[in-house]
Amino acid sequence: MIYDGLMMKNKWLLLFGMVFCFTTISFAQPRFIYNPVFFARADQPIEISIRIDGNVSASDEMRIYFRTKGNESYDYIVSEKYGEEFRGSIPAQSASVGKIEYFFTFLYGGNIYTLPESNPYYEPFEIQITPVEPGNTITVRQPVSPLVAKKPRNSGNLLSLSTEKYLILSPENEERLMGEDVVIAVSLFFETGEIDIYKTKLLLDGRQVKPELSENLITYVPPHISEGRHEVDLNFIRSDGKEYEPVRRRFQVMSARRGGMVTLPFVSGASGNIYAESRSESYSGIRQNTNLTGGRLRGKTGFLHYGTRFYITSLENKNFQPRNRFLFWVEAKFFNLYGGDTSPRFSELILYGKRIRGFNVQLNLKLINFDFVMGQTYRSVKGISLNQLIIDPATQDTSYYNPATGDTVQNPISRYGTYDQNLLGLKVTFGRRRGSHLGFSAIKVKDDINSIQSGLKPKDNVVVGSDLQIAMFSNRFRWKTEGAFSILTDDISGGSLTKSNIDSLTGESIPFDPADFEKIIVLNTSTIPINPATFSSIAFTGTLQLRLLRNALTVKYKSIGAAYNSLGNPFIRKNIRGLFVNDRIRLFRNRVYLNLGYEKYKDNFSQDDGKPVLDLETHQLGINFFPGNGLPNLNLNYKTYQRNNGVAVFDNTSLNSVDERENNTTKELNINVNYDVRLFNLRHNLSVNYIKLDKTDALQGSRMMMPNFLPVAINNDIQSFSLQTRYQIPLRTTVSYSGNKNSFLGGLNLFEFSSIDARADYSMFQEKLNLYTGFRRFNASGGTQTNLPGAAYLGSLVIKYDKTQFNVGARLILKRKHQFIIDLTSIDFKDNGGYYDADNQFVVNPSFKDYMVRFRYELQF
Amino acid sequence: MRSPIKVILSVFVLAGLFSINGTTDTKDIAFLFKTNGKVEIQQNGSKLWHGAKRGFRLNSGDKIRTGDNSLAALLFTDDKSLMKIRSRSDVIVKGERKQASIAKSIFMQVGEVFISVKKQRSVFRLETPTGVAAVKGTEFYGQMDEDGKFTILGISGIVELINKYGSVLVKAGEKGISTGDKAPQSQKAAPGDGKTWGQEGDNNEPQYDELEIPFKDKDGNIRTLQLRTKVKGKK
Repeated sequence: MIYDGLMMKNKWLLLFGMVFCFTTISFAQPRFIYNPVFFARADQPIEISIRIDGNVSASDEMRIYFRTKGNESYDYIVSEKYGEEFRGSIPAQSASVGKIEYFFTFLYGGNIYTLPESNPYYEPFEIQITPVEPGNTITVRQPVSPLVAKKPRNSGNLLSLSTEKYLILSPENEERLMGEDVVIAVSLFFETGEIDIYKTKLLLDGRQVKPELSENLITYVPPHISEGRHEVDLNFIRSDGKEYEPVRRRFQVMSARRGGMVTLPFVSGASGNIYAESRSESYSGIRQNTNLTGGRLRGKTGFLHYGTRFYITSLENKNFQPRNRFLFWVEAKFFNLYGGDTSPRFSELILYGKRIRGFNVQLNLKLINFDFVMGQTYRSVKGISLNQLIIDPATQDTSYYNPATGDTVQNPISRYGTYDQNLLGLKVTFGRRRGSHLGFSAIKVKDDINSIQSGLKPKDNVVVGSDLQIAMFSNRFRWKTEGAFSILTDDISGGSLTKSNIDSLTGESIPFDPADFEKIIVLNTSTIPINPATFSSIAFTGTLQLRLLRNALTVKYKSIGAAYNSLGNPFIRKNIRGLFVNDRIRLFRNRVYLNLGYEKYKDNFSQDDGKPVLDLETHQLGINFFPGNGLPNLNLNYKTYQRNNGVAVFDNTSLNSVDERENNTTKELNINVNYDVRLFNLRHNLSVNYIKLDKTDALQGSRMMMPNFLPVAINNDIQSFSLQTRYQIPLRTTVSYSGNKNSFLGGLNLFEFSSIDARADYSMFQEKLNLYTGFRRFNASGGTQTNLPGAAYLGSLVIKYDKTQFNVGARLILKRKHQFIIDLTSIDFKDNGGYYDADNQFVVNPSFKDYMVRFRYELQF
Repeated sequence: MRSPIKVILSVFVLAGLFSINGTTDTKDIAFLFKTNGKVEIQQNGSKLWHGAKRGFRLNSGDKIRTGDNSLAALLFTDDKSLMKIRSRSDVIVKGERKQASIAKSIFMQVGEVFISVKKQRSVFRLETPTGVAAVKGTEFYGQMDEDGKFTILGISGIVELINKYGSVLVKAGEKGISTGDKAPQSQKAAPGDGKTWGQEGDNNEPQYDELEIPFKDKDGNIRTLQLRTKVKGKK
């Protein structure tokens, strides 16, 4: 939390800050409502949903940053806004990934908030990727596994069924396929009288569907099928009415972006989709309308593969970084060309997935490969003057001017602008990109100082590096090492120093003129490192990955210098070195997966700033247990995380003293039970989660001796369960509950909430029409207190509100290509909370009646 | 001499049996597993062509034709034999159900097909105007061009290529050619043979990186080993 940082400040300032923050926060800071996801199944997208309490506007943007644990760089997705809720989907991960780290950034009213609030890049949330349950192993290859004939536990009344009597033609068991390729087909070899074909029941995901039946063949083509895992159950009935034991088959429908195409009438051999969406909503009394459109297309002509993606929103605003996105690409055997919003990857230390609006050209000449990128990483955004800021109510465009002169007012500046920032990069790789190779990379990133006027510290950055990868034995052995060196000039607004400048400053004659190198990099007093011989701007990593003897072992050592800076990958944690070890062990025929993790880092190891080294140590144990035989699956994870800088004494004799002592331990326990069960001839999925987090301060006792101390203790206690039921009729219901208790600052700040959700989905006309309705009841309570003597209420917040939400919607599919969605949501928001003002008077927050209407059309081709 | 009445009765009984067989044992011999582009069916006994999508059931005698950049993949219902019919092809599917198996006979007037028969339960023949390919558990490409040249490329197993002048066995890695004016011949397939056969329309085929490694065989001849690895989507 932000209070960790506040601990380090002057205590009086801290106290003032507390009061100020609480009163300010009550008006401005959004509150995240989030039940963390800790477990996710391999090979399935990870759905993330987070809510915001506050006046969320259409221009607010929530990003979810994520990376494989152990990696240096984050990718991100921009989540979609549904009223006060933001939804995003982290792409499916393979079981070998082990863990995903993620955090949120929320662009709100021109400011950026994060979750976790404190140290999000370095202490993010984690998701343990649980392997697919044995027997449910997904394979892309054509499976050769025998038919799955599931025998219910109580099969005494059922007739046994020989596999010679039927042949499931499609889908293959555990097959992955596109939604438009799904055909359920079963060939029959029954003798006359052995079966009453017209009583045969075919169930898709527990719902009976109407297949085409004949004595030889059963076929069914779902008019629409969602992405994800599905089950087919086939119940044969004998002529005398007796039932055979059922047959079950599982398969997985992949998203369209993973490949698979159907013919596009107007572009031969291409496929894709186009959609348009319009929303009208009112939240906290603020009405907003949003329109967006997007689409994607892939195709092939001759030897060329091509494609494009685009996303255009009415939220595009020149005062922010681009929200519209577009990309086109052409791929062939020897070259690839990407234009638009590209995300090139050279190496984790240098350039790795950063959005660049420009071109990326790859030449693949087998033994030597070239990767060239050129484009813009940030576009210019004007700064905002404080005194004459004008906001156009229609477009939200901002402008400023000096009415006295008619000129642009540059000072004082309310918000500094952003310069155009351009990147140029080249990577040469000897060997195969994905296999063993040696690569050399170089990038140059520079702000265009002429692009705006009210900017702050335009920068110039050059990074060079190399990477070596050795992969052997079908990638069971992989060694990768990367190294990079950076030079950053933090402020190039004054240009480069000249030889005479330096000579006069130092009194000595240097052997070169920095101005001669200005085109490569601007060198001046803000250049980091000033002395490259200190090696403080060097970063390197070494990673060993072994997959053998049921182990998936990763060992990584890294050392990132304090002065290392790559604007091609600004999220790299600097001034840290240490070891990361993780092993996943398969046991008992893959019924048990054991995850063991250890991390030991020295943060601030260079001590350039004079502050102590902070030791970070993490131990982790995870277990995935798949007992089979119809029993529930269990996932468990336990982690301890310790931060200790070894400072034992706090000298509080001066008002300016800062308590630098840090010695705290966080213990985190996550338990998840997931149970697929049949009860009352219905198929249910029950999921129960329990999360417990405790952060304790080893020095709390000594801190309590000081007046006005702020404890760092955090306690989180979260329980949730959900029950999803599929009925014989095409009805699916979901009931869920979650309770979340949070205590920060040793109890000074409390936040507690619970929600009950119920939802029903009903399909008609062979799933061409889907109707749904939902109900949600949300209660929150808590507040903040101050320990300011004599002002028990000043600045205190009281959180006490409830929301009742109704939602109805429909999805209509016509001719398998056209999809229409309409969605209506109504929220009754009653707020009895508020805050105490300077007169110790309690001010009640306003209540609202909110709504959202959403309409979407999508064409698939 | 048999009595005419008995003969007539026997004929009627046989005809009846035949008609029963004809209506029941030739139905649902296959179904369209996947379609891309323009795929049309002319059902046996009908003169009308109509479009067909996945899930469509095929009876014996049904004709299939495909347009440009099109593909029809069908599965036979007895043993999951797979046939992909490529662009600009014209094919008649015939089959007769015998207990749990279907004797299959495909007549291709022109076009290209890929056939995979892995668990063969019965006869599988690919017939063209200038030759017949009898399948014996295999995968192969078959191409019938408009000049009457029938070419097959063995992927695995053995195919017997027959015409009125003789026959030849075509093994994996070999190419068999039948032109209708002489006995069919087989030869080693050259690297790249069949590589581009009718790829258009079959967009779901996985993409591969290919590596070619030249080496000398025991006779000192330079040969090429082709390795293919599946490529994941990049963007």
